[in-house]
Amino acid sequence: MKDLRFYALTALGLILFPFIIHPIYGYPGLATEILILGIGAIGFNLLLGYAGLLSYGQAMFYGLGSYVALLTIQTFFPHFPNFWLALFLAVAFVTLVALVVGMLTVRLYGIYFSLLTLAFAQMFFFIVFQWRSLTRGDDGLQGITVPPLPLGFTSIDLTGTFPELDLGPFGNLHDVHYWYLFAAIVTFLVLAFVRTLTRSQFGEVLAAIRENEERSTFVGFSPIRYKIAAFTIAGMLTGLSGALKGLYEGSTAVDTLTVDTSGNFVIYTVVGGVKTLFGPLVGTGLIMYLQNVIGGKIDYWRLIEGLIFVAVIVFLPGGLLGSFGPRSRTWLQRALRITPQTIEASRNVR
Amino acid sequence: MNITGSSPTRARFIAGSAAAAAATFASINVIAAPMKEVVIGLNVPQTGPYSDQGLDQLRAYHLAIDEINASGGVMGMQIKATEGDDQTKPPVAVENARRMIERDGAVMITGGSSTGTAIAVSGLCQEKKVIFMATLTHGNEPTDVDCHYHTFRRYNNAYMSAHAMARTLLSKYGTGRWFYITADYSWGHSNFESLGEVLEPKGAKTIKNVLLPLGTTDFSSALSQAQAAKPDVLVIIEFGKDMVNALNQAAQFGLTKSTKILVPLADEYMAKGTGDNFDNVVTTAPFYWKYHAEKYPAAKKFVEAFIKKNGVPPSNGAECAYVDIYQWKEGVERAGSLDPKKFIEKMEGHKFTATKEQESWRAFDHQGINSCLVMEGVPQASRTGEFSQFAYAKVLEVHDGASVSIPEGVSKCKIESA
Repeated sequence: MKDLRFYALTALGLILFPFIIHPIYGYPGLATEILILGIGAIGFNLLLGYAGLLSYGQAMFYGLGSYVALLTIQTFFPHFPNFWLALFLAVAFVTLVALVVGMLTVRLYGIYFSLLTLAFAQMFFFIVFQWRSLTRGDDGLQGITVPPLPLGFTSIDLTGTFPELDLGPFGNLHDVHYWYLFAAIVTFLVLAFVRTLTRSQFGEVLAAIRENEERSTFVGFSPIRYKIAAFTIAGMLTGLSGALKGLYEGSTAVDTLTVDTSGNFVIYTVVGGVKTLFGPLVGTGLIMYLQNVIGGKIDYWRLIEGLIFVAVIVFLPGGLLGSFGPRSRTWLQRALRITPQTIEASRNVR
Repeated sequence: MNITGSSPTRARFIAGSAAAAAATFASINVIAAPMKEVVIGLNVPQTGPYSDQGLDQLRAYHLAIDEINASGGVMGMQIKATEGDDQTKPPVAVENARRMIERDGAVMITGGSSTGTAIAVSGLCQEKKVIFMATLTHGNEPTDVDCHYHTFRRYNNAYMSAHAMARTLLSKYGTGRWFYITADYSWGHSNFESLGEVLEPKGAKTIKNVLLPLGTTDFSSALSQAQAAKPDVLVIIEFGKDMVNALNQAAQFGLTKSTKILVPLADEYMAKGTGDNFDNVVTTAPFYWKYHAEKYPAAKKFVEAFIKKNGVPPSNGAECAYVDIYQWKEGVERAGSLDPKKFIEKMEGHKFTATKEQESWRAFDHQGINSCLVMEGVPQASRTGEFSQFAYAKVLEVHDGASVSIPEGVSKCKIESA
């Protein structure tokens, strides 16, 4: 029953999203991009929130995902351009890369882990940048015609739009592309997958490892294997996000593999709220919305983004959802710095 | 069911609030419903290595838009601009353009400063069937291998610069040993290839081409290689702040004194940033405010209006931005419609006179055909008059656009039919 309510409300939220943002200067294209990047942030949160691993190299999975998807269409199978094949090969390749990189990095802790993931990301950046014959270097892959989405006997051109239907202040149904529907379905599946995963034994063991690795080892779990699995799944979801972005734009560039991109996933996740299912999506939405709406009007948008990030870390360490969401403490408890532990402690004293 | 007189319930209150909120938004939309206007997107780098050029184009766009709006607009519609900072990054440029088209309803996108961003935006505009007036982009691609039906580019390209420079210089340097430092993206490659195609058959020898990423700040390793190679000519295919850094560092290596330096494309801001180091450097430009203002009354009018509004003379990118807005306006008015297809039909092959001699738009690749200046930098001491900082060069030769542009038989452009 509770599951049903979750799925129904999630679906409803995803359906209403592009229309809700219309009166506040949002537009359906932005909604699509938020969901696509949000998928990557949800994946990254598995690592940061649930496994407690701060990877600073998510850009390698995101960027490689977009490159492999587009290269599949343009270079690998130019005579058989297929949307599913592009998506599948991109995700499969990135998953493999994530598995290998994960095996080499998760043994390290803290800053060393972050730096090693960053180093791997830089390595892939330079490979893509230098391999000009395949990747076109700094120019990136541009203007690639993405084939329609095959669905059994028919196929859908995702750049097509819904029929005209005036929704008053919430825009027009005609403004929404099929791409949004596709991105929403994928987001829904990813949310369901991550929710199931984090509520399973796998999620509990990850949390146990995060809180006390030694103890979980003594209990009989292999932390390394669990961390590799978390790293691989996170990489896979970030790769899926990159592949979708590449297919959505019909173009990609080497900027997708830069430190900036890795940093964006960290910011999205931390601002929205680590350890929460919807946090990364909310963070992605908020930052991208502000970037598009404020960034178009004010030159120093980057400064504002930085201030938001700092403010969240200092004042809302749980992120937006972690601090204001349904499971957070009330504002009064926060103001008085009362935590469940202090309540427990005060009981014990008496 | 008794509706009237019932006591307020929570559900009723929420429903009422929602209705009130919806009504408020609806009324805002009604109040804000503008007088007839047409939206265009200005997509230029406002940060990053090419930001000087981007910001100057923005000034020119606004000058043209203000002038047009003051004199009645485009077919009676006021032009409304929506802006974006593309950061000289193709993905950001595409994201901006998508926002301008989807959210703001832009019917034309214009901008540039980098061939990389221009190619990316051109692809999106083709998909969206929106006109793209590429401004400062000098690589061949936007009107060659990556040309698109909805894209027009008036600015000179690398092929034109290479042929113009070669014609002016070949007698003097044509057979020497040439060393290149090149920006590692489409524009740099395009210039390197275009120069090689012209020079090598004449006997010039390419010793080395060092590729460096866009946004490089330290050129010392490339420059020390150049110093050791002792070339006759050093070609620095860099633009914006990158070129300023490269040339100033070349001076520290003594290369500006010992070697002839070529910069395929320069503008007022690059010359200002390099000061005396720009002395004797040979370059090309499609427009030079001092030269054209003396020769053409329309150019004089534009330069004076620009100085009056902004306090500085326009760079060549700004001039192109200004003319592009007018070209779009006149094209729309000739077509009598905002329909891109009708606009394109009226643009292809069209001849016009703006701030230079007579120009034209080629039908087969949508390249604007206009003259290309070959110029040589002068030392700061001899830069005279008001805005002497921007009076950076003397014109060596003016080449007719048609004589130096890519011939149709050689062009790799296969333009779409819609």
